[in-house]
Amino acid sequence: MDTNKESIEKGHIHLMSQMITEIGHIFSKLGFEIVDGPEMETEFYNFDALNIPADHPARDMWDTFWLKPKNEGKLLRTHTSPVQVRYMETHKPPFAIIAPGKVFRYEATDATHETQFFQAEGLMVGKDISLSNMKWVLSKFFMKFFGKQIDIRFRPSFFPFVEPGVEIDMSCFKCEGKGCNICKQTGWIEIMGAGMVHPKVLESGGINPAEWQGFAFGVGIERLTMLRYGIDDVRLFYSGDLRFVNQF
Amino acid sequence: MKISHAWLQEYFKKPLPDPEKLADLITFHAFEVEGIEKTENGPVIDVSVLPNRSHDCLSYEGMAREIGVLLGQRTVPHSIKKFPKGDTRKLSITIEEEKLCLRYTGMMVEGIEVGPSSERIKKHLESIGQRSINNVVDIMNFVMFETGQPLHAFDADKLTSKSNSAHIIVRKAKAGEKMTTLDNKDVELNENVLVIADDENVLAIAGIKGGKQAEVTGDTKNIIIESANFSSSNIRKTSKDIGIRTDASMRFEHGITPEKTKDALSYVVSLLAEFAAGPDFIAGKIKDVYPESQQVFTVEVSVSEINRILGTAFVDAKIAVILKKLHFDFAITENKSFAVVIPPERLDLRIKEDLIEEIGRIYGYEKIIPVKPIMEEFASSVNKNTYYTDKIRTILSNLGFSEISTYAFTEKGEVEVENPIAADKKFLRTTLAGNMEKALELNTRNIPLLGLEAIKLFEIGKVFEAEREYISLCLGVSVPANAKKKLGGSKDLLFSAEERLSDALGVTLLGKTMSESVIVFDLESVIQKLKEPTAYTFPESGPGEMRYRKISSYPFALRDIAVFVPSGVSSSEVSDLIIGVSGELLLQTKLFDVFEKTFEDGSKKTSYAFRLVFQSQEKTLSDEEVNVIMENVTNALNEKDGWKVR
Repeated sequence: MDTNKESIEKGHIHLMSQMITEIGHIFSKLGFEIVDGPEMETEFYNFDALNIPADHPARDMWDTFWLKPKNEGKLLRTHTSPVQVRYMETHKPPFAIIAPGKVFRYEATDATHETQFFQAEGLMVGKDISLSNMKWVLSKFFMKFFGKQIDIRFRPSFFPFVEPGVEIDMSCFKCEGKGCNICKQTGWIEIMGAGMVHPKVLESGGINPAEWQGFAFGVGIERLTMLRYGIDDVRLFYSGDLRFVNQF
Repeated sequence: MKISHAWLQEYFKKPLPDPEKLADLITFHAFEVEGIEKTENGPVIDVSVLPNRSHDCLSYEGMAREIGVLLGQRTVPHSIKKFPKGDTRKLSITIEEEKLCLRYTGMMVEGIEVGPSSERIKKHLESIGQRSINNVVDIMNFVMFETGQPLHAFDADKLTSKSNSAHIIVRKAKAGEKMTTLDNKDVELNENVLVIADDENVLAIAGIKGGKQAEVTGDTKNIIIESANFSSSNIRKTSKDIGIRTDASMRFEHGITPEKTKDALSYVVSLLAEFAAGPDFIAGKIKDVYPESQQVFTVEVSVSEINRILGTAFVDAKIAVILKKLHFDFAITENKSFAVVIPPERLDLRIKEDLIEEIGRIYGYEKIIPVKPIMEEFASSVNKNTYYTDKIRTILSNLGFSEISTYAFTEKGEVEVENPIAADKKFLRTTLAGNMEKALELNTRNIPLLGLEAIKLFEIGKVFEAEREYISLCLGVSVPANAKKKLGGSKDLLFSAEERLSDALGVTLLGKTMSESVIVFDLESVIQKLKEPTAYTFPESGPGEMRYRKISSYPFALRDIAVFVPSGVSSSEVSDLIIGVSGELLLQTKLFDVFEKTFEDGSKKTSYAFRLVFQSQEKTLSDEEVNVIMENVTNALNEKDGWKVR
């Protein structure tokens, strides 16, 4: 507890920044390139290019913040998937990218919901990239992130930009599958959506689906972080409060 | 969709597995299960049918078919009992909008008797939370839940016709036309709304809601039954515009095969004959207007394509087995692919990837083995923004600055939100300064709890101007009066940080001074000037321990204590003792003064003065409670040989 008057007490980097750096690091080591993109997006990149046409019930899956003027198709991105489309337009496969970034959803705020939060989306495209490759990559990611063996399982699901589409559960890192309050006694935690990129999306990006194929996944970074550190309120991340920031 | 176990059982000869086992089967091969509810009529499984399967599985028929596939059992079709047919008043149907109404199957049924529903139908409807109304309405509802085909009944005697026959017209509404719904809501219609009309009036908003004009009431004797199909996007648009959403409109929105209408109609009439027939019950001729029957789709897929996407190693025979399990008809093509005939109700199966998903989910994704991808040829460049923002974070934290992250929505700005979440969040921030000022204020109040001398903050984030969004860096400093002498003013600290940052990056930063406490930089422009990085410098860190400690919402209490100890005793020995005695209510122990004193008797003593911060997670600590702790601490310190609390 001796304070040395000459040395400066180090400040704290925000936990979100630490997590984004760590996630970027894990994927970078696995061969992924870190990519970013604009937060103000167009309807084309956020929806149409991702096989989510207007007047389609699938649009209900995202509560969007639209920007004025109305009907010019400007919005705040609801996911970081637009970054994937922009990358595909300007790069030839094979490649793998990870795009962490801020996204926005029109939602009532509470302990587990915010109007702005961070996602990390990944995309890997190659000649024979398959679901089994995705299982390998994501298993490795969870192991590095939680520091222990984590099992993952796929459940059938639907997202317009992937086919097959899956929800991914990870084995509970706390009780290791025995059941606890974190995994609601099930031993499993729902953690991300993923699947094989829909051929229409590859085409939107100027990639020929007859030649190339790949997988994509998306995860909420606050969610991962809250699980790992036992944080109970997502609003703490944006409070600007050092009582939170300085704990990490 | 709520699936009553008892109702579903009617579709199977063998007893179904219990609901928990069924739920697992559904979860791992088909849809998400929200939960299982125990009701008066038995267990009900709440299934979240995936949006791309709403067209075939928002019905018991569809769910039974799906579960039959998963169990390897055939389903028992519902029996359509024979009903009396004969001559009724003539019914004619005109579809004016063939793109919006894909099929209209209608029938005139005379001699019905409206009354209470049968027990079985009542029970089934109640088990899924549907109210029983009368036998006719309930049968329409029941058949919709059974088949997925929405149906509607009009009182035939309330139609206005130019001739003797009853005439149903499917047309667009005229501008200014109105309709009062069955639940007494007045709706203004426009030319985008598809309506069901007679020769004079609007009888229903097609696929969405019936009108009062031709309402089936207790006295109704003759009805026209509508079993039709409408364009999903038009129904969705209209439903949104007029703000009415029903079980029927929801199904149409997702699309339904027009092939369903006839069977559903026959089924409804057979039930009416059984449960709502008067002595003169007669079912008229089926009137079916079906301008363009649904195309039959065939999708080709090969074993190698399947294996390539799933990462499996199937042989042809295995695929044939799975396709048979799905009850899909198929042929083998010249080049050994499977040409699969898509059942009409499966609107979601149109490309080979759709079939590959069917194969994958039926086979079971748990059987897919993880395999490392070959990534040697993957090019990779270092992201400049990521590299430099991380570098700047490290530099600033070494200078004692802590990072905050704040909201993008503000009261003022250049880019306005069409649908803001709140009145004071209409714009996107043009600067990080506003939030920084607030954060400085908040954190300054908590200086004792934080154990800091001053507050030094930074934020890196996007700001939004009319033509441009860019990454901004904001530094904020707040120095309390009693620390100004030692540390300098906030402006001094800001400028010195700006200098150090400039040195470290090798470029002159020109910040914009927003106030005495805050300075901002267009970081994106700065980064553009810096040289391209060649490799990341990632810190070596893995998961730390679970470190988060809940922040208490109760006020903290401050106490100071100073103690003389023999020279040579370290401050940590003293603070350790204080911490040990105080317990978990002591959150912060900060040394704020040290000096040596030689006493008259020649003994050398060191004085250590600590600021203590107490706080409870559960309540506001009273002075008495804190005093008790301080007493214990004082006693413990005084007990030590040669130690004396000042």
